[in-house]
Amino acid sequence: MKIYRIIFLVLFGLFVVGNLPAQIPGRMITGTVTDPKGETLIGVSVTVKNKSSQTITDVNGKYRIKASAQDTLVFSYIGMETKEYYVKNRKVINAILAEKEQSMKEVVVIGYSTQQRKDVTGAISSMKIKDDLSASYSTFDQMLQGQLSGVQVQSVSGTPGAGGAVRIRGVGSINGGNDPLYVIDGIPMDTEDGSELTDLFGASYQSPLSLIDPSDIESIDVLKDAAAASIYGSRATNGVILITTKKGRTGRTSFSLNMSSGVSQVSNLPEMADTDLYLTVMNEAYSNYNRDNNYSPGDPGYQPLLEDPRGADYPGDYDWVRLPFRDDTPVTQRYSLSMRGGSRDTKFYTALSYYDQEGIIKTNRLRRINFRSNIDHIISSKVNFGVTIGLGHSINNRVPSENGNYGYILRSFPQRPFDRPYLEDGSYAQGGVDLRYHNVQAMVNESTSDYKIYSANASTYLNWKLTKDLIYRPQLSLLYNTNNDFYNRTTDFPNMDSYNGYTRESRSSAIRYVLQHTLTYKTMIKERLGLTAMAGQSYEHYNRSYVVASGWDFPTKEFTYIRSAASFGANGYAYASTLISHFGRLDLSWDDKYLLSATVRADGSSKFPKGGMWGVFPSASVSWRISKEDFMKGIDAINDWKFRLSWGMTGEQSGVGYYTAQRYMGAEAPYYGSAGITLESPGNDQLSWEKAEQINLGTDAVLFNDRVNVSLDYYIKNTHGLLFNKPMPATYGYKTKLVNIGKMRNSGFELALKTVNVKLRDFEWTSNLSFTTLQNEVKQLMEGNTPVYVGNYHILEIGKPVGSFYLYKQEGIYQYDEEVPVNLYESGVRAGDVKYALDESGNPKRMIVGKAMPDWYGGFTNTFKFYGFDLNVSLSFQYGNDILNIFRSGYSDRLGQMDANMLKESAENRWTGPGTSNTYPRALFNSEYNNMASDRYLEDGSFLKLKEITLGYTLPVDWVKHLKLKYLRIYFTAQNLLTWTKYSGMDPEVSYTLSPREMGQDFFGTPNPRMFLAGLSLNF
Amino acid sequence: MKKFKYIIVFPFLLLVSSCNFLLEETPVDTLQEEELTSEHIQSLVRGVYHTLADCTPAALILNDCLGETIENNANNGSLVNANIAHNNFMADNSFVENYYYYLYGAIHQANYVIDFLTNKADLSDERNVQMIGSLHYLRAYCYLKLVTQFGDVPIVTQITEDVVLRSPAADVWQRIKDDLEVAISQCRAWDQAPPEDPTAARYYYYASSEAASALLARVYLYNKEYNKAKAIARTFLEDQRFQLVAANSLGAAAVGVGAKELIMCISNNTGAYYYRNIFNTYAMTPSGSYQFKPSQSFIDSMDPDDARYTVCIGLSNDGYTTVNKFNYNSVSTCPFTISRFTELYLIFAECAPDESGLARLNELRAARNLAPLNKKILDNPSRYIDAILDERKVEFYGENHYFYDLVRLGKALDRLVYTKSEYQFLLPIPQSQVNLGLEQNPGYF
Repeated sequence: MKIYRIIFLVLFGLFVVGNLPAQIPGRMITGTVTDPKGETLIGVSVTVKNKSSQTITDVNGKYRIKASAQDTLVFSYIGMETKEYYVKNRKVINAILAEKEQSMKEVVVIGYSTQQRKDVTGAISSMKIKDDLSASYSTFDQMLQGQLSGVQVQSVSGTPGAGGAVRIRGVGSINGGNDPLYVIDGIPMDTEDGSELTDLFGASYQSPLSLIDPSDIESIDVLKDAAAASIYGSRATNGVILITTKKGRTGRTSFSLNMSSGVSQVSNLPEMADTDLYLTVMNEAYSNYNRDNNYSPGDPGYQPLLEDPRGADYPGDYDWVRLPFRDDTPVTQRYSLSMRGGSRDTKFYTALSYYDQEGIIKTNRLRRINFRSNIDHIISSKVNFGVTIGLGHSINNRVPSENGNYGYILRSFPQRPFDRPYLEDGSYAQGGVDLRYHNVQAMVNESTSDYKIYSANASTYLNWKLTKDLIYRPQLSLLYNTNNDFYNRTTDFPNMDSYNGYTRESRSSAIRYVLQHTLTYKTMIKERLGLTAMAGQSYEHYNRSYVVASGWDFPTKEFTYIRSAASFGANGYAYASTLISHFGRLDLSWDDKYLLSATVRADGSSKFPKGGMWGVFPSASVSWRISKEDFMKGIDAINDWKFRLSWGMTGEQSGVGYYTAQRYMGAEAPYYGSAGITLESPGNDQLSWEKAEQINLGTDAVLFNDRVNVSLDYYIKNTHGLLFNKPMPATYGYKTKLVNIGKMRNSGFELALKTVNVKLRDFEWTSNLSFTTLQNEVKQLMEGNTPVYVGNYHILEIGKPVGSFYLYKQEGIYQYDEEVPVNLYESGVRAGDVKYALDESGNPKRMIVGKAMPDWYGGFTNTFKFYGFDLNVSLSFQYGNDILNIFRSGYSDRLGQMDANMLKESAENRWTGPGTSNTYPRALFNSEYNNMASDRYLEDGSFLKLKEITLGYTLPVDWVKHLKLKYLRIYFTAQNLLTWTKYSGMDPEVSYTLSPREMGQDFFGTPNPRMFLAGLSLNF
Repeated sequence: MKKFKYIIVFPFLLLVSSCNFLLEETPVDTLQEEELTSEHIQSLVRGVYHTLADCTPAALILNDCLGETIENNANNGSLVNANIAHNNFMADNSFVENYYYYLYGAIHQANYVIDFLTNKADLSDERNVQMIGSLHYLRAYCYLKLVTQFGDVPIVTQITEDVVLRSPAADVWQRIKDDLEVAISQCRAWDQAPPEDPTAARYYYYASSEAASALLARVYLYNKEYNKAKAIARTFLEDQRFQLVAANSLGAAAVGVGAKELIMCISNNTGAYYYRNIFNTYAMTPSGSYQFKPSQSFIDSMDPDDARYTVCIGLSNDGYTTVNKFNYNSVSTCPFTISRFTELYLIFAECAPDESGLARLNELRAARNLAPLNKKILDNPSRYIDAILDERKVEFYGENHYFYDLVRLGKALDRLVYTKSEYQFLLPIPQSQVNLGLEQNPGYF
């Protein structure tokens, strides 16, 4: 052995000596090699171009090499872009290496394992979370919007912390939540708002997921097709979102600090009628009513006209539309500090962050503190283990949203323009007396919400190499969420519930244990057949309990805690569920060219009746890397090209309550001071899994040296045994019964296109386009396939999409009395009233007039980098959906039916005589007819939104060095800056409910604010 | 080390072989049906009362609103309240739907418990027989509300998931009579402790034989079976246990100590409905949101000397006229009455359009500080009916009678402003039921 070494040295020595003359004018060049964030890189190869001298960087990223002024230094490192520097007359050359786009080598997280992108056979969209991006968002779902194909992000409310809804490949379930399964570092998460006060706040619920700090996230992988998702079995129909948090890295400990702050702003406020217009319309409404009924003054039914309430010292109309919103500018702040480093054996990531956002609605504010610590440790060559701890705490000052009795916006906008929130003596004007609706000013001043969530997630795993090929990995996790919610209405609160002051407090805690273990066998047979087999099991137990107490009748407004109340009420209960699973996967690859993957999962759930607890969910997928074929070898433009085909089954159980399947007696039925028992749940012993079968055909191509990255997928997802709350005859005793009915199909194309358009030394332009089409169709319903009416505005009908609007169809306005059919004339319809489409018997007829689901949606992001500047412009868009504007139908367009204020536009354009309007009817008191739920209130919800625009500047390394920093970037961000839409409401993205049965209804929820942020991030 | 590895296999096997028992989760704090024993019977019956008590307050004054003696506070933006006050309903009206489901929900629970008691309880125990009678009474009350408000309605006496179509009103009336006959013969007497809760402070919160008789008298009256109604009324009027009370003991006060007028009421200590919530203003104690108030036409029609004037109409401390009847002290959980002794006076008077009837009417008027009516009124039957109607309007103010009285006596179109057409005599069948195949009432779409 030794002899070879000597020979080698000698030969090498000779070689060096042979080159000696060229070295003579050389001098010693030194420097440090870092990544763009200033992190030193160890082991970077440094060579002199066309010469033999080379070295590598040491543990501090430093190198020394001899070179002459004409030489070029080449820095190269695995996974990084190779970079060249002219030496010229420099002695110090600090190199910065950027990460190399190698999409096919990218690690993709799949269920219970990881794969390289090239080996993936299912439809998985991935997103590496860049710090630049995560810094400007408060929750991770906002980051996803428009970024990934097949992933739609909607918001229920623009209040901070409000749950955004992620929809993957349309709507898979009618009754269930259509939320995907969220898995963080291998642990399935809870998404339920645990507070028992949520009903007081409408849609302002807060998901525990909002406690995750986006800047802790390394990557997000979305399992879209059944082949990818079915390893999660009964919770996978709506897709699976796998979140991987940042891990430690070997090397010197580096610190990263991120700070940003900014302001929010409300936009697109509606314009309401002023007093003149209001009085004109109202008096026209009364006059029309009196005339229709031949009433003259003195008759019992005569409606007197309004007198102008404005006196000589009238101070002008009150701006009720501004009232719910903060007078001062809502401020957002964010700070996060992280620490990352490790030795060869132990690596860690620790971060602490604080977030504080004031909502645009008065008193609304969310504060959040996060702590995360991820530690990985190598015990021996065979065993390593890791611990993940995430702690979160949020304080949310919630405000009631939309449809509740106390929704600030809905209670303020329709107030009469001449009313004021305060009376002359300084006391509150009262709804129902002085005002037409609850006094929002009083609600704002006289209520306090303080919602605290504490969450602790801990998880530990062990990786144990039993043999060279066999790894055993157990993982224990514990998720603990506890809530402490306080809400007070003082004695001066506009008191619908007739309490003198009211306080409700909720305490709840939810614990989820997840025990899982997997055994993975990975081998390569004859260097051609790759085989990976995995088998695993998991046991999940969830239990939640709560106590909610309320007190009312307080002495005065200073007293707000329950102990000071004269009357009390309380409630409490507990739930539990268990899920047991067995699962396995087999991956085979031949020559890296033909790939086959099969998975199966059996889930047993406590939510289903005995005998039907178990469901089995198999899948199979194949893929063919055509670019590896010999006939493709010569084509340099194609770096990689792959076809994928998959089939799989998934299930869904989120629509099933804990005990819905069971028949039992409950005792929540006291009477006259004594306890009572009722048949609380009639049960359904036929209740079963909702199952979906999905086929996916896809192709991925990487072209032109990784400059173009394109994926195209087509899928068909058939759901059967749909869980549905079937409307029951009243004689059954319960309004609905949860049953498995019918079939539904979702299908669509998904295109993801990433391009590097320009790549010069100092200028780079990249684009990311995602485009998704969506088609949903109800294929089968209950016996006889009769349509199912859902709520007041929707219908389920064969061949139509879920969320179809079933409304009266307005064909115009009757311009003359003679046009009104006799039967309608007799029931009081006159010229100026709405002309609806009629059925055979001459009555207005409801029909499908629109749909809540878009035809297509997506996003387009462009990023420019020039010198130290970076500019990011993100657009998101949606097309083809309708929105039912409940604000118009319930309030602003009733034109005198009740004395709510009207939208200026509707009031001005009302019918006042033949030919004046074919859209808005005449003003008429007490008319339900003109205001029936019709397509007059249905609007095009398509939009294009400038979702984000960010301009950043990274200071040159040499400058920041003097500040003892490695990296410094300052940036400005504007979010939701512009929206192009025909929709007349405040925000086409906000929907009162995301339930597929009732989606697309806008009750004027809090719109997403415009935000302007400035921030800086630095590393040291 | 080798051996150690087998330990890993072990938990795998364990989970596979034994997981089904781990999956069994039963709800805490509940009972399975098969666990019900005789000790649960009283609670089960009270559960039916609870379901009936779980009513929206507007439904308890529906006939007063439709009868235009109570109107919505137009300053309050509630559309549903305006619909109720103006007899202006669409088939998908949420109030109508909830009211309909509420009544059938109570019928369902009653059917369930009747079935349970009949098949599982010890019927040699008199109390169980009495409670079966109570449940028949409650069911009859629900059907009475249904048939008077909706006309033809489905009849169910068993648990069923099937769609049951509407039966002719005549069949519903017969069902009510049959149920009440069972209740009369099986229920305990009015002044005996109720088997549902022998320790109850007031017995009239539970059904009694007398409560069933009183309701049957009303049913006969509604069906114009005057002799039968009169016979029952006479029995009551001669019964010394019942007395007319002073007018100022009406309404909320009627539930107080020593009330000898109240035959049957339904308790509200569940917080389900609050009269004060819909009648009182903010400034009052207890406060409310002033959703409904006395109509001006009602106030104008009232004799200021009538002892019931201040009972019916109050003036709040902030200057608003309010429905005062259920605002006695701070009885925030005022029950709703089903039968009061007074009703039997009025039934008798209506069934006997002669001097005996008029005498009873005048007896009631005297108790209310009103002058007797001259017997000349008997010469004009229509005027006599009007006089009885006027009396009923005031006496049962806020007790959910008046509109149906107008309808059954053919006076609705004459006396009402918002009821303009006969189709408005009935509410629409809820759209949800029409969707399932039930026929809609004429005039609604």
